[in-house]
Amino acid sequence: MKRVMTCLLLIFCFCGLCGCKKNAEEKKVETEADFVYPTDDISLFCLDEEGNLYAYKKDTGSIGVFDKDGVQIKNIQVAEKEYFTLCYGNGVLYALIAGDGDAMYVNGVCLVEISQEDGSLKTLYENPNAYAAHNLTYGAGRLFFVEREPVETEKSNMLSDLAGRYTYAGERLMSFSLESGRAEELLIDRIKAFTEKDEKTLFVYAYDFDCGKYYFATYEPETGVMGQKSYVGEYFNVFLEDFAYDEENDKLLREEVLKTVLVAMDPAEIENQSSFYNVDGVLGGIGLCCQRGRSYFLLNSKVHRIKNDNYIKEYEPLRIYYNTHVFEIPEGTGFEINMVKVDDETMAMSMMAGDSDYDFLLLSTDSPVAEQIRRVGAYEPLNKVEGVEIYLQNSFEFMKEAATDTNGAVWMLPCDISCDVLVYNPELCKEYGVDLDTKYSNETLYQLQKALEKAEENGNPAYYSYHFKSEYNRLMNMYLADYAVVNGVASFDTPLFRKYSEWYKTERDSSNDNVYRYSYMNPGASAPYLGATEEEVAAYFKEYFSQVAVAATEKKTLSQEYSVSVDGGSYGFLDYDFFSAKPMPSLEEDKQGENLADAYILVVNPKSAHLEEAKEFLTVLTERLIGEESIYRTRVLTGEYNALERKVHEIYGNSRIVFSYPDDVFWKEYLNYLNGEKSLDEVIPELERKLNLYLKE
Amino acid sequence: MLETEAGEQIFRGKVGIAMKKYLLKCRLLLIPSILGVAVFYVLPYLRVIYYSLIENQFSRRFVGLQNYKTVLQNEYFRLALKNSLLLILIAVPVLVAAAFLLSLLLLKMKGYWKLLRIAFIFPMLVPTASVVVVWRTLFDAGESVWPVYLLFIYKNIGLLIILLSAAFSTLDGEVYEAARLDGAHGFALHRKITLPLISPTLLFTVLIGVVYSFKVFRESYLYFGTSYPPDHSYTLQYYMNNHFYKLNYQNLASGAVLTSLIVAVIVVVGVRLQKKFTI
Repeated sequence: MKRVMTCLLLIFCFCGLCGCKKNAEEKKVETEADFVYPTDDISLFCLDEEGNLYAYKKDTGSIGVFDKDGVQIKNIQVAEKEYFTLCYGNGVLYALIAGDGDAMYVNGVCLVEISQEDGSLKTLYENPNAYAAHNLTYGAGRLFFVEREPVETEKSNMLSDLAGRYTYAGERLMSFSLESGRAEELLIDRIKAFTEKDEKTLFVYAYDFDCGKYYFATYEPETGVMGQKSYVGEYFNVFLEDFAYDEENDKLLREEVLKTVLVAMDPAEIENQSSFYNVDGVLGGIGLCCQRGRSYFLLNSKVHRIKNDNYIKEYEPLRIYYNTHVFEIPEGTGFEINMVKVDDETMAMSMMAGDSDYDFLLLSTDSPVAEQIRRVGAYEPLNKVEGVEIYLQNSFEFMKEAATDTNGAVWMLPCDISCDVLVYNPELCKEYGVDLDTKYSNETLYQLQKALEKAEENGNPAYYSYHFKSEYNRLMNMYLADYAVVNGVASFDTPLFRKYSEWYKTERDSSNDNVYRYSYMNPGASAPYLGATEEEVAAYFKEYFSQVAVAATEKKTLSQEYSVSVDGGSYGFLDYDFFSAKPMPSLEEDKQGENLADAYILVVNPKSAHLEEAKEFLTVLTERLIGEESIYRTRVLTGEYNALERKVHEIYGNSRIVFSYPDDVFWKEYLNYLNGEKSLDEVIPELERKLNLYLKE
Repeated sequence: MLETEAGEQIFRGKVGIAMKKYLLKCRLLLIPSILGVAVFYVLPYLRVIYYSLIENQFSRRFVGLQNYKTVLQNEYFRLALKNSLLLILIAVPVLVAAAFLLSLLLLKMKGYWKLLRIAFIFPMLVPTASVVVVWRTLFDAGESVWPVYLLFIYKNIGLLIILLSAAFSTLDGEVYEAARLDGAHGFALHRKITLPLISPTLLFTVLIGVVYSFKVFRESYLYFGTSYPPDHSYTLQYYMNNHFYKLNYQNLASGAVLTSLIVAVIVVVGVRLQKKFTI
């Protein structure tokens, strides 16, 4: 009886402990809406101890004081100076400003106290030899800041380390004592920036010349003791001038201006970082503050406030094995994502071995591994993952079909699609004797190509990006997808296959030029940006694009590469109504079928050690993708789009995903023909034999 | 001590204990080898059998012999099986016969000609890739299966010659003298004396040849340069290799188990024959 009671007691205690542990792990996060202070054109800001915002407007020369709810308490008119940074400490407002020098470059730096009554400035410290300053912070009766003095090129070269992406720019970490009124340099080698950790400790960001890496470390100014250095990784954006410390979450925060995200880093292990907040706009790049678990930053010249808890996730990093880097995982999901590039074989072996080291596979559907994953069931079904069904409903129908296995399981998430689209200027093409609106086929495109090449020899300025030689991959893939297998049997001995093979080989053998010979397309490099007005730049691009006759484009070309952003204006194919678009022509003129598309897919590892986190990441990702409407992916468009964009959307929507065969089955043998080693009559039976073997073994 | 019955019993008891201790030591010393065989051969083989009985490694649904049925019904598995058996039925006898004749010839050589036997070891030492390069210049890849058969014979004849030469060296010359005195000469001498005496080794070389015929994949793959060789050379190894790359582990496992059963049957039959013909 005693034993029974003891056992029962132990079981009860054990259950209780498990429950307690679980409760301890469940950190309740109170959501708080993001807040935007109702004042714009802000160039600098700081916070006082109560959380009131002091925002400096350069054009009015004033500092507005706002409470937590954005209600303006005060407006301080300050002297017209160049202000580098602001800070509030012990009831006093401080600033670093440029000196009164009238040199073009080095005007000195002053540390001033700003009167909150009349905005007058009281100089506390001045360095006439400095040219810039940043990172002003108050702690334990001292002010800390980084100032920069000019340095001779020779000295800069000597102290710099280009291999480690470090350039010495004359930075010095200064400490100003309010009591003694004296400033002294804190000797930290190759300092770049710092932030306050607490009253007595700073976090510094500097370069370790011996290791050849940047690092973060704590530093106590009073004792001069530096904590353990945490080095940054290979892909860290080292050009960092401003960062902040979130005491509540124990994270260092910084802005990734180019990626428009906020990033949280583990101070002890800097390489553990995640972009937790995505912004739509231009980040200020400076002035990032953190107070009581909230981040304050400049976005589109307005001060924004967010509660970090709402976005920073305390999950283990997720690892993605990828073999194609065309799809960029969106930033700002709150998850730390480690991307590891592997080849097809490693990817397949990891999958089949039940490796739990990775959480996702990111690959393209034209990789043979993609089809194998579906066939062998090496995936975690996503049917019950929140957001996936809605995302698939929101995407093109064919994406949903491709994502669904024969047993109804959703085996992958198609994050992005790319297919070829022909963009052309009908009127310009007619000038070269080809009317693509009336007659559209590979033959007419070829005719147009020849006409443009001939005209080019005579100095014709028309631009084009289409060449039959670069089409053979697409044409053969089309044949493989639609014609190569008839009733389960390989079929290459057809007039269609022979026609295109012979045509391509003739074209390939006849030309002495580079295979990808086509006229110069990219306007970005030669565009007159400097000193030009927005109207002039727009006119330049319009003139340029009006001379483009035809271009075989993929999504990257349509949306990014040739879409040049200048001063907020974007110039690309889709911006001009003199273009039309069509899907790439089918092999048979009178049978315009569906365009072939490649999808970039995410597959969840069923053996992942972080399966729940991986699913949660998918939920966040699908939410993000649904929110970003795209003519290349979204089924029903709700935004405003021009006719050409809608046409491209229609073309994309009328596509299908086809999985490819291994190279050994078709391309290896076919190349023997293209290289002249075998005749078509020798190659065709081999192709049929191999494909039959592949399909039926 | 042995003079009395009691003494004898004591003696036997002591011997028994000593024997038991000895056997225990033997068993303990065998454990590392057994463990190694178990971990690297037995357990993986059991795992392969398990894979052959499930739908896939992810769902792990038991499907019984369905995978075997699929494999046996597959025309290309049957083609591979046929080609593998043809390799055994044609190339192995040729290999053994050639090795036998060459061993006999080398036996009769005297002086420096004896060093010629070393030359037959070279094929075993030369990397297969190098041999294939030469083969591709000599033969036209794809037209016939004989280049692969010759490659198999070329690579393995050295080992068989060593085995048979060792067997010949154990033969007692007096037996031959006696046979000659009885009037036996030439072929009759070898048919009546040599073959029966070396039959265990001969059967062993046949078994080696059969087992090695299942390992000829590397040579064939390099020779044809593709995972999809001409039909006449498409063997069981290609079938399994291609399914490995297709990640179809169930077909691979079923094919492997079937192949191992075939090899096991051949080896068992061979061993029984060897015992029957051993003098």
